[in-house]
Amino acid sequence: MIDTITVLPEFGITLTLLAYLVSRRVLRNVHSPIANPIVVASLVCIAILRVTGIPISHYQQGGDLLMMLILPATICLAVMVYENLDSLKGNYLPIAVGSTVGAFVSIASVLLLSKLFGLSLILERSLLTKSVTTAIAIELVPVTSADLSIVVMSVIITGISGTLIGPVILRLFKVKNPVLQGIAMGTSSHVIGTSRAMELGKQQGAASSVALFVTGLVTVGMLLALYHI
Amino acid sequence: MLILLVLLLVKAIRPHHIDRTAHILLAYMGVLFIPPIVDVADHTELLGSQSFTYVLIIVISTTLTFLATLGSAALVMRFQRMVGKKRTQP
Repeated sequence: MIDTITVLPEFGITLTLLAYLVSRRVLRNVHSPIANPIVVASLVCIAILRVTGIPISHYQQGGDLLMMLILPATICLAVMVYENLDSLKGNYLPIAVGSTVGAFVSIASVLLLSKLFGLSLILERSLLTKSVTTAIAIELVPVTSADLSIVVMSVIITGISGTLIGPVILRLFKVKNPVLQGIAMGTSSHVIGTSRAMELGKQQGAASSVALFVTGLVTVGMLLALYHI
Repeated sequence: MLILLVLLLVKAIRPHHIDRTAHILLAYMGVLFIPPIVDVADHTELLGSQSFTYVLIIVISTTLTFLATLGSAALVMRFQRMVGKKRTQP
């Protein structure tokens, strides 16, 4: 009986929405940089599925439908950029330089740390595209000869770690400039970071959107130069 | 994203045509990342014995990327302010 309900797409969608809305409501008054509703809601979903023994394949019937909206939502970031063009004026050079340096550091640090820690070649290559959106990372798989599933996993884990670490660093260094906050979030943790930046403010969201776009372009260029030419 | 931005800038698409849908998607964007995160938790076996090292590298690299981006963008902003001040001085 329960199986016939949980296998419906509505189950996954309802569980996700409820977990997110409850987490957001509960965390509204918690002023900690690590109180992230996306992470908390995900942990709640995982815990519910593990405790009840509901297969993740059932949950993903609805989850896949929600995931299909990630690409249109990413494209809609253009609306946020358009609405905040005035606040971005004069900040295009810092965004371009910051995102280019960030993309370079992301790739260089993965190569160096992988050698240092003796990470396998397939994991190393699957980490190279960790700071770009999933759509771009998937397109780069033939270039880097990485594993598709691990590439997606790397992008997601990077997004989560960026949304957890980023606000801590911003608080530690007392960074109040909204454009700076957005550039750092978008470059280091792509769309997941941008969704967090939007919670901080519209300027942060717009700067983060432009930064993730520039990071994507620079990463594609660098990886093509490294592995294709 | 770039194409939509260009279409908005050249007024081929008016903001009010897409405003409502775009804002709903953007407001609840966070929800869309919950299913892939749940999926990741189900595929940790792909990492084998190197899962800890793999996550550690992501955390260190993301921190370095964040700091490098923040530092370089802040330097450019400071430089722009200095140039701006010099230009306004008589």
